[in-house]
Amino acid sequence: MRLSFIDSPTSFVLAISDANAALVTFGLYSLIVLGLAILSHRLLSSRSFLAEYFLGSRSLGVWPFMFTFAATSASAGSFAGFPSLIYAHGWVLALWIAGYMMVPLIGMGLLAKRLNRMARQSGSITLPELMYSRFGHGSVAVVATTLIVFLLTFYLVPQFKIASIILQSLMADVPIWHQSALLLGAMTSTIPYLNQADPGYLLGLLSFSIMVIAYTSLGGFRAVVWTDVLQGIVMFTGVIIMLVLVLQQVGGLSKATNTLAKMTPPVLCDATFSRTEKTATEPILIPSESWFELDDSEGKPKRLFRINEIARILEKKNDSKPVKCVEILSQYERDLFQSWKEKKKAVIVPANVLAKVSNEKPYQHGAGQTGVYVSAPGPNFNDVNGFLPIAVAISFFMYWAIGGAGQPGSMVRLMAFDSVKTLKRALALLVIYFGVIYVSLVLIFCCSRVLIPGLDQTPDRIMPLLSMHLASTAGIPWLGGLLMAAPFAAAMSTVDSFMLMISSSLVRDIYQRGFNPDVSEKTVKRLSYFCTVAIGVIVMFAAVNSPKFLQILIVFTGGGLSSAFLIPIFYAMYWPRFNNTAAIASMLAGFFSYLSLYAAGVYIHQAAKPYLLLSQDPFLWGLVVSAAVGYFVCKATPPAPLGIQKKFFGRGQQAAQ
Amino acid sequence: MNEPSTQSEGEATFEYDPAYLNALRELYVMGRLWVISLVWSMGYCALFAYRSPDANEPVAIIWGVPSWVLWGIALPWGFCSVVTIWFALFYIKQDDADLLAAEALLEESFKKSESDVF
Repeated sequence: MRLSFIDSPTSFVLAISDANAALVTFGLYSLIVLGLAILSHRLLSSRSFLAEYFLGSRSLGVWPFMFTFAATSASAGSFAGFPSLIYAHGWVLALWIAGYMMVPLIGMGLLAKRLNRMARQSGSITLPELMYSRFGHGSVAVVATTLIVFLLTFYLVPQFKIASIILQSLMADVPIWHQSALLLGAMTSTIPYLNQADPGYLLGLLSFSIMVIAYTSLGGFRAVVWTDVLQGIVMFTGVIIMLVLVLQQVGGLSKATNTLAKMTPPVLCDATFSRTEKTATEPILIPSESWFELDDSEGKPKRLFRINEIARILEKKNDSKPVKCVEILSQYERDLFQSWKEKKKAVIVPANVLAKVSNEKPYQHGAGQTGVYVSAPGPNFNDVNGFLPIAVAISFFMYWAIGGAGQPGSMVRLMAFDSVKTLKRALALLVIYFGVIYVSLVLIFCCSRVLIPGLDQTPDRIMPLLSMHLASTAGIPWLGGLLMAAPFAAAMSTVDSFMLMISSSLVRDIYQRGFNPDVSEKTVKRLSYFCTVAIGVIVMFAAVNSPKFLQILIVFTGGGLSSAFLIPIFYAMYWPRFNNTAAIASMLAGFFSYLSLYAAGVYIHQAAKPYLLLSQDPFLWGLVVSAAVGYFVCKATPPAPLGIQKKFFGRGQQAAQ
Repeated sequence: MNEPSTQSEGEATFEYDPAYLNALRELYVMGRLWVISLVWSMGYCALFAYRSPDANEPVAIIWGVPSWVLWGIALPWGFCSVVTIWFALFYIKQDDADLLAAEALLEESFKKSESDVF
């Protein structure tokens, strides 16, 4: 067994300059966000506190409304999870995301006009408050508030964690960041709960939490909206720049897709490294994404591998721990490696170590097949049926559009625009915004496999790696920081909205309505600030050692919210007869049927996976049950009081203060 | 399309708000477009996107994208985008003049009461 190597000092020099640029970009970004929060805090003092703090005085214009709606919908998943899926499975992700063609119309159009009008007619600031006014009974608001507070708190924990991981990746090579992490590690080494977390992650979590808690609690809804505008612009600009650079560097879309069509999935494996000189004791660090070749079969070409994690041979030890690795099989990728090797662009495992490969596993669907990255169902390591069978594709098509409409975070935004004229223009702009963002992401990351092959064990790193690669190749290091700010911005815009929603539910729906209707504005102010800060701090501590299954927690809580809220709110907006009993029944039936399918999945699969009845997502079954129960209970019980029906559905009703 | 102009369920009746009737009419258009996009996109892709592991012929690529993406996703996406923009700018009724007028009055009286206090 023989290893070949090339030293590549240039890549490390680039990494350091990119990292400093990332630090400067991030610093500027943070300053702008805090500046916006201070400006909105000033505005707070000149308007009615509650309406301004939780709903921006219902005065959002076209651009703020469009951007805040779009930014709230696009979580960190859009810029971290989605690119990694495209990288791993190819063009089939265009089919997976196809439902987004209807997201602007259904997500914004389905409820916007009615929700906004009814909130104005009743003077409601929060969703439970609107339900209280619509049904004339407190019980529906209590159920809604409980579900919102419970599910959104769970939703926030993984969002904090993802944002902290992104920040940690962004700053990975910045010296001052390392020093601060070491200092924090020393400070927390004796604190029982905190000392279990990686100091770098802890620093990321602390920085993110301080920033997001400060601007959300200080500026309220308006600060959140303004930062959403900033974040929306960052995301849009970042994606456009990436698209231009990627197409330029890959030699055009046709070339990239034709190359992708010839690629076959790699073999996933583990690699262990050991010293060639057993007498040496100094530690050896092998960077992630290093290449190595093995010449272990006579008469055949050398086998080519790329590691996906940092490998360390510690002082006085002879072997590293096993690290994730892929064996490259496509001729194009092998040729690319040879060309990088000749130009000294590849980071290669040093000559003083030997590599051993173990645990080799081929893809269950797509192994050895060309064309698998440009057709459905797409390659899949875990499933012989491929990544996206057609039944699952249909399920996703419905999930994106309808699921988005049912999110309480989006509903609150629909209560905040200033007129139908604004809605009309924002809807038209949203079509363009989502179209550009999602189509571009598919194009960019289909090309990314051609530019950066062999990341199949850790595809979630493709976003930062591609950003740095594009910026370095184009000779614009600061651009790397801007491009990587996009997923961070997406995480922030989701977190701030949900923190404010929980805070408004606690202050307005529980304290003010349930315990102290005559509370003074001064007390409400203090309570609102306190609640927003307290929620942020609690979630931050929960995220220090959060559960492993982050993605499933995000999907579960997102689907649970839609299953519980979409149908009751839809009926409430469009069906005058719909009453309090039916609303509660519909909400609980939707949520518990959804929960049951998750519980059944855990029981059947013995893993954190939902049970897909007829290959459809539990969320869709939740909606079906919620709709049926809501309909039949409403038919079986007396209609909503006539006064309420007249107020919300009758001619000549006025706005409330 | 015949739409109710008065409430028909329960004991009493009242005249419906035109804004509510407009929203219902707009809802039907949204529903139809959603069904068209679902049938077009999923139908086409079910027939042409899926490839048997034994298939020998290469996937057709047009303008740099697989042909099934172009006809089954890009084209319906473009169609839906154009219809949605038309729907937003020309079909949705701007029917909140009554609310805006009432809010302007409320705002005015709020400012007046504030100036009286100070």
